[in-house]
Amino acid sequence: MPLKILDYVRPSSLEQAYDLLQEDGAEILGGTTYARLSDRTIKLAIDLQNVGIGAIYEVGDYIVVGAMATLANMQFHDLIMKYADGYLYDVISYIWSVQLRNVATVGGTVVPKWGFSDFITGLLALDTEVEFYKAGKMKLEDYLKGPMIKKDIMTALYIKKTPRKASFKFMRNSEYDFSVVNVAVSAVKDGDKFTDWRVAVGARPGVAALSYKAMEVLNSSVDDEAIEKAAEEMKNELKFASDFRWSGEYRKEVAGALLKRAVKEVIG
Amino acid sequence: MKINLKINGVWKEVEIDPSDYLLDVLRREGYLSVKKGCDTGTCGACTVLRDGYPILSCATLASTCDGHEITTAEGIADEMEDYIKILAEEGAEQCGFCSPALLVMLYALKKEIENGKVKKTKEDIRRYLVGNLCRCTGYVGQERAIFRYLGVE
Amino acid sequence: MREVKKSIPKKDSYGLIRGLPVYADDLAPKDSLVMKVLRSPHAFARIKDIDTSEAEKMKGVHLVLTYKNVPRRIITRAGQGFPEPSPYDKFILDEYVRYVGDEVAAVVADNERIAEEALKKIKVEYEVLEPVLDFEKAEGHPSIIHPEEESFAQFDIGRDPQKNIAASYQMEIGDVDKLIKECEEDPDCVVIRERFYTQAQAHAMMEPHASYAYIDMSGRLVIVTSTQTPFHVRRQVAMVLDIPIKNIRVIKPRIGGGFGGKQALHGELLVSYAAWKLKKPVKLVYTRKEVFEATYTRHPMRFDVTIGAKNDGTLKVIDFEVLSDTGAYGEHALTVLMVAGSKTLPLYNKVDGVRFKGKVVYTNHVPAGAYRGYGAIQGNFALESAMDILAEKLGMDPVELRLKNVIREGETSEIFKIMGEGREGVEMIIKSCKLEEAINRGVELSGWKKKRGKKEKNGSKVKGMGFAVAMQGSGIANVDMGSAIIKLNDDGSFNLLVGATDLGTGSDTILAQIAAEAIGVSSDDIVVYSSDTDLTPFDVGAYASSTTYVSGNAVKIAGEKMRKLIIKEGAQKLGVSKDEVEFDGKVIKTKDGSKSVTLKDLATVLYYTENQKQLVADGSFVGPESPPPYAAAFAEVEVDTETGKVDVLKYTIVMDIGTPINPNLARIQAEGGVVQGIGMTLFEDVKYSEDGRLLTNTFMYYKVPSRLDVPELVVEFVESYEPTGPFGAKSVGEIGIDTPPAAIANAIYDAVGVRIKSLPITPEKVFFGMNK
Repeated sequence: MPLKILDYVRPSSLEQAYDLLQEDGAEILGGTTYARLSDRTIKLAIDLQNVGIGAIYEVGDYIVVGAMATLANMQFHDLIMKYADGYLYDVISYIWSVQLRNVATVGGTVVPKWGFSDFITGLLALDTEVEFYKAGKMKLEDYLKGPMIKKDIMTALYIKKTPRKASFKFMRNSEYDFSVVNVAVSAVKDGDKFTDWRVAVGARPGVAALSYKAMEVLNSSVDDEAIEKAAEEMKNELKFASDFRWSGEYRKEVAGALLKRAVKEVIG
Repeated sequence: MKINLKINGVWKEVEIDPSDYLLDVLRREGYLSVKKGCDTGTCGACTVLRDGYPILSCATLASTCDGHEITTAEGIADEMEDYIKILAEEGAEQCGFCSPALLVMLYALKKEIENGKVKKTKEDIRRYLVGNLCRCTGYVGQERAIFRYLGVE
Repeated sequence: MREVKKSIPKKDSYGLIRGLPVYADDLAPKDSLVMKVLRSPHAFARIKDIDTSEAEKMKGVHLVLTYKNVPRRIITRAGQGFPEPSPYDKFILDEYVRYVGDEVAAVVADNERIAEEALKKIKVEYEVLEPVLDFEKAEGHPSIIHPEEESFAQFDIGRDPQKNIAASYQMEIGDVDKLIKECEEDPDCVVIRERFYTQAQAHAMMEPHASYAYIDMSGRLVIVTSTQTPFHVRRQVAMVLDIPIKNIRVIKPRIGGGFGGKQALHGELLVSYAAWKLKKPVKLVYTRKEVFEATYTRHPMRFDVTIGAKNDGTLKVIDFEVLSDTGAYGEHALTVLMVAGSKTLPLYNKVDGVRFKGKVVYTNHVPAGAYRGYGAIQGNFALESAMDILAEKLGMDPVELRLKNVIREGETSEIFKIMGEGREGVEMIIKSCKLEEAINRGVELSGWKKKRGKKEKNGSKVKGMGFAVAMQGSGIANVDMGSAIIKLNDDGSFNLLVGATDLGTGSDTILAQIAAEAIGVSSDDIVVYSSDTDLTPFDVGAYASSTTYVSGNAVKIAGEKMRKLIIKEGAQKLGVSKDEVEFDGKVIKTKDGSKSVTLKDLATVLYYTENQKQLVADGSFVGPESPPPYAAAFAEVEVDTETGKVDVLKYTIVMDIGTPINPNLARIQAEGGVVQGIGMTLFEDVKYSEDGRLLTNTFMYYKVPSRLDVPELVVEFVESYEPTGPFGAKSVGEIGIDTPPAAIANAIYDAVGVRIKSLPITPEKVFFGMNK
């Protein structure tokens, strides 16, 4: 049985949307793209297209991406194309299909913490914060580690324009598929040194997580030995599991290989 | 509930259930070029344009399209006459089930190339069309027609 | 030849590309009632109790069907000619459910939503039985999947339901055990023994199965359905519902691909019964999930292959032992098994001995059925992988090994006579075979000599080359029948009426070309109407690579007759004998040029003024033999040693299909077949849960190749002329799919030394093969 929706509203302000959301059985429409076949009922579906959280703009050091921006809006936005050599443009351009990227929203992808997401892994390697209407701003990694935030509305992503070099690697069998595993890596280029490494690994198949140990290794050195070690540390630190398509063991080994490739690409 | 859709240039008031997906509403209203192939946003046979951009009508709630403009293959076939002729010459429509959606994608792709968002290379064009599955042709014949139509070497 | 060997657009292209309503679901009356099916959540269970009263009470529900209120007549849904070589082991609905997805009940309601709500209100109490989920343990399993007394086979197919055996077969030429032993003991010989597995590939045609039925003004049952076999549907529905064939009409509209998946019956029995009972239109459109979980798959198989050869590469003996999984029902069980031998082993026709034996077991999996390649692709993977292994053991180039042993024009194989499909075959001397030329041309086109064995590296990636040859058939000899009727219209155009079934391949178009060539007119003047049991003559349908060869020959016969009629009537009109006139496609004139009449004028006269009559010609054809098309294929791959990912860079296939009637459409059949074969090889993984639920039941998880997964594809035809085919043609529909599994597996071995013997070849298997 497909998703059942009893009532639909399109509020015109965040405040109104928030109030409606507090009703029993009310939910934000987001991620319905993936939910079509889920057998459940939404009493009141709240569509945020008119509340004004779809824009992409700059505030100080941050690129702000409204939660209702589609992945395609974001992909082709000047600010995104220019930041970190268009790294996020690349990340997004490999996600599923054009038709999906035109309907899937940033909020609908981030809020449910989809494990298969390439997008979340890509963001996690940057200095990214998530903003909710009431809960306010928090680091993306904290949101991913914390509980699901219900009855609140994600309003925007804040991506700090730290001068990073970043690389995103994924392994897929068919090119038109979810990633078996994905790895995003970035570092701040400081002269000929790289600092503040971030290493995110997703589709393990759990949602993306940072490998603090790999980051620590890379922060001290990026010679071949260190890269090798970073991969090993990451493989031990993060949990890789099997699902019906790929084994955890395979994901782990591939993640190691991808990490090395990504680091090498960043250091050039 | 009632919604208003501008379908192929004509505003229409349509009675829907809030659970209805755009695909089912369009088929009910007689736009039968829009096909249901998979239910999971993968095959692309349900592709239509919303406000000019291709979307999966099987993964889009009809209610969210209230006030928007929808274009189906019926609405652009005449404009795409040249492409239709070339695809037929290659014999690459085969069973035809994925053809109308591909027609819609081609229409959008042409605009994206004009806007400079998609490069006119084989690789970029293939990537743009990856969400349109075909089981008959192995894509090769389709792409002979597409590249010929777009003038890609 | 003017009209054949010519690429013309498909006759239906106008409507297909524009998205005109042409498929079953598009054409169903708007007021059709909607049927939905309640499907078993258990792999094997008996329905202890089923209570439909709550559903029946719902507003908008018209009918609820269960095994208690439908006729209990056993059939096979296989969609084959009568008597079928498949066991009769299926009821419309039964008290036993034999796989997750099997039909438990059906609801007919005003619309989809009500029907789905009603399904939820049906209360079923199951006695859950222990399922058989490992086909290697099915034989003699304590759970007997078909305990029903009624099931039977029309003739001996080696069935033993008490042991879960749906069919079995064996044949032997020469003393194979003795020959193998001799080879083992002879220092001048080698023997290899290998085991291979193939998976339950899904057809994944883009259009889900759809059908609707209604009662016409004469009270007859009309079924419009996405089928490859309208005449078999008519016969089988008649049999189950006990309605005379004369009271049933089956129409196949355009269908969105089939690949064998629409050869068998699916929803037709249920919609027919409901429409017949309610006297209202009823439609049933499968969801994609239902297509995966509750239609048919390719038969998964296990092969034990033994080959003995002399050190110089001369093959001495081949032994194939096969285990096949037909799932819950036995559609095509025997015949797919046999084709795994009969369309592979004759490739090497010069052996001293060859044996083929196999069993097909019932399991509680999704039933297997017909699928393009039909046993041949499974057998080809085993045989051609084994040949590659043998070549290495002999230290020979795999191409040389094939050239030394493959079948050639003018030769035969005893297998042709011994193994047919479900029965004895027919003797056949190969009249057209350009396999050797195809191999040699492929060696050039692919760069085989330059690239094989070089292990060229590019970062973490290594390249490799693999090779395989294949054969198919063209229809089932002495079984498959096609027929055609051609009638002249009053403007000089023709209607071609064929029972043949175009599933999107363009067969309507190539049959029009054959008709035009035979009559001597333009294809533009042929209007085709096909696949309507009231209006078109009999044809077995689209399967077994039969349409071009079998139906095509029927059309050619009808066309030649029509040409004679035109000449006869033209001569009469001109007042001369028929030997004195000739017909150039437009004008009938005396050979001396003194008198003439255009076809158009003749037609007008014939219908309106003088000597009035309808010109109509018919043709029927049954293949006295089944001439094989051949293919030689070369795969160039690149394997990422760090991830196990295999990229096919280039796939070169050179085929002998006789005369390509429409080269563009033939090429696309070849390309589409190759890509489906690549899908089976690399992407199309099939996974079940421990309790027998199909997990790969969406396009999200069952990955058919996308356009980014397709290599550079080089297709060439080496032309031969098949004297028994229409204008020299053989079949093209299936041969393309056969080679990729072996050619790619062999290429991977060439690149990284890992031999994958079970399909699909996932990156995980390759990776752990390299890093044991």
